[in-house]
Amino acid sequence: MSEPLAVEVKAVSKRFRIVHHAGSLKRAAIELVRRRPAVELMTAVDNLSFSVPRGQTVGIIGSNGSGKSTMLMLLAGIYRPSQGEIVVRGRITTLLDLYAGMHPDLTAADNAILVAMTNGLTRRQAIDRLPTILEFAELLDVADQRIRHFSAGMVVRLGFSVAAYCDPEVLLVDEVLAVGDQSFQAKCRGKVAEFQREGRTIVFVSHDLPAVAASCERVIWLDRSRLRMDGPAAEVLAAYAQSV
Amino acid sequence: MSRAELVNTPERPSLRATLAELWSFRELIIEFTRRSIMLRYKNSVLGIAWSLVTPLMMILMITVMTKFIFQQPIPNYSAYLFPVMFAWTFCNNAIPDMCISLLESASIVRRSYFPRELLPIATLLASLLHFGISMGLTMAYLVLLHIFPWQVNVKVLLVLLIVPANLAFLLGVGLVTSVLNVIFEDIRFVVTVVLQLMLYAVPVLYPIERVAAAAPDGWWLRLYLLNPFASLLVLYQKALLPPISVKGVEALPWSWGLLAQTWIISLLTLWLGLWFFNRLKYIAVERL
Repeated sequence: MSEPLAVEVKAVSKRFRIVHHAGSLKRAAIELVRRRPAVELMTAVDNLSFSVPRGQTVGIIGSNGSGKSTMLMLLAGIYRPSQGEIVVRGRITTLLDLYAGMHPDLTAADNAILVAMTNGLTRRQAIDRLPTILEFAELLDVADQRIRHFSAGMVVRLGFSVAAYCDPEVLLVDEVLAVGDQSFQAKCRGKVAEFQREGRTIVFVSHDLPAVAASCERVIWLDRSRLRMDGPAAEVLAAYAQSV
Repeated sequence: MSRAELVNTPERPSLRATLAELWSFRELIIEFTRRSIMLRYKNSVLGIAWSLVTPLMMILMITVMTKFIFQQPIPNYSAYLFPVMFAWTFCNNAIPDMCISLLESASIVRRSYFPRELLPIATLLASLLHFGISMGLTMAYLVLLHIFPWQVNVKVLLVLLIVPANLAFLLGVGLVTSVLNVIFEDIRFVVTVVLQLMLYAVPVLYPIERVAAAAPDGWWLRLYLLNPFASLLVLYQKALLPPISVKGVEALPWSWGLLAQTWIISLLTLWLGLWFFNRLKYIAVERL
């Protein structure tokens, strides 16, 4: 056996039903009377296959609407594929947007505990790690404040720190790290490098090509829901830069 | 609580797998319950103390109304109303809260994976806490009036057999409405209207004995009690209070048959809710 695979994506397609009545019974009734097709299918991911060996850092790039974020949500188990099969081995930690599911009306500490628990920590573990998380996020002094009034940078620091201390075996990150200030970005890069040394798997969706070049060894380029190119970071990024 | 291996296919997870997963996430259920309580009182000075104020106000209001405005059928009639009133308030608050629970938590649902059933369950538990507080206050009030424990006996413990059935029934309804409300946001208005009408189909504004007297052969009562809302309230009343005859109509006794019937209907509702939610939950998440 060679290196075990952390992520396997086998011929996966994801089609969304675009519903014209969008959440209203009245519209649904009108559409029914007009005999228009109420539902159209939109393909977000089309017959995609790839696998990621344990310990690899993979970047997924592509223009808006190319299916990158959908792919990440499929890997996280939030969406179910329409076809194919996805296997992810190891504890998944997600960092899918700025707020990472945090609630503006809860304190930094309460949010950190809840998000850590959705990432698979027990409550005990989450409470034990809270000081470390807040310290890494440089938010110790505002731990008991509601995050409603936090700046975007503070929120993303908190989100990243929680994810970083959830012991990720497979870390799924969507386009968030560019928000913190210079010094925090450096800390993030340090943490990512540490994860790479420790053999953790990272899948990273981004438009920030220099960041992808700096941290990913391999890049997958999605173009209009399909796989356009998959290979060493430098090659794929060069080809991508030429096509844009 | 973590999944060592995620296998994500078009295949819908079985109900059994879903339940096993829910059990492994039980700690997160409690955390979501805490969150729901914290968010409810987020901007208030008194905080959780409000959950005492609301039932106390109701007790005061009903006492004043029955003592001074309406003619009382028996002394301390208001005391006999509280268990039913609060059981009804519990149903009446829990269902709309559960109905919006998925939609309200869209941000965390779209950003992390956990069994989605967890949200209506946690919402229900938060409502249960308020119900418990209200019932505790009611008991204290009954002690003050010397009704409890002198006129009440060990059958108060029957409440422990009623509450689980009540929770199962409410959760079944909550699961169906919460997932539907993501797809059609009208559902929560439908729920509110139905609950408003339901107030007249449960023995809160009138004693159950009036229904019993309406048709002598009792079929009308049997039909009436097929509604779990009504049968649950009757069960609470008969367990918690001494039998009182109102306006010459003999008080209905405690009925084990009614308890069994309510349990069956509640468990069927719960099963239906779990099944329905499991079928639609991924579609709902895509629409959030």
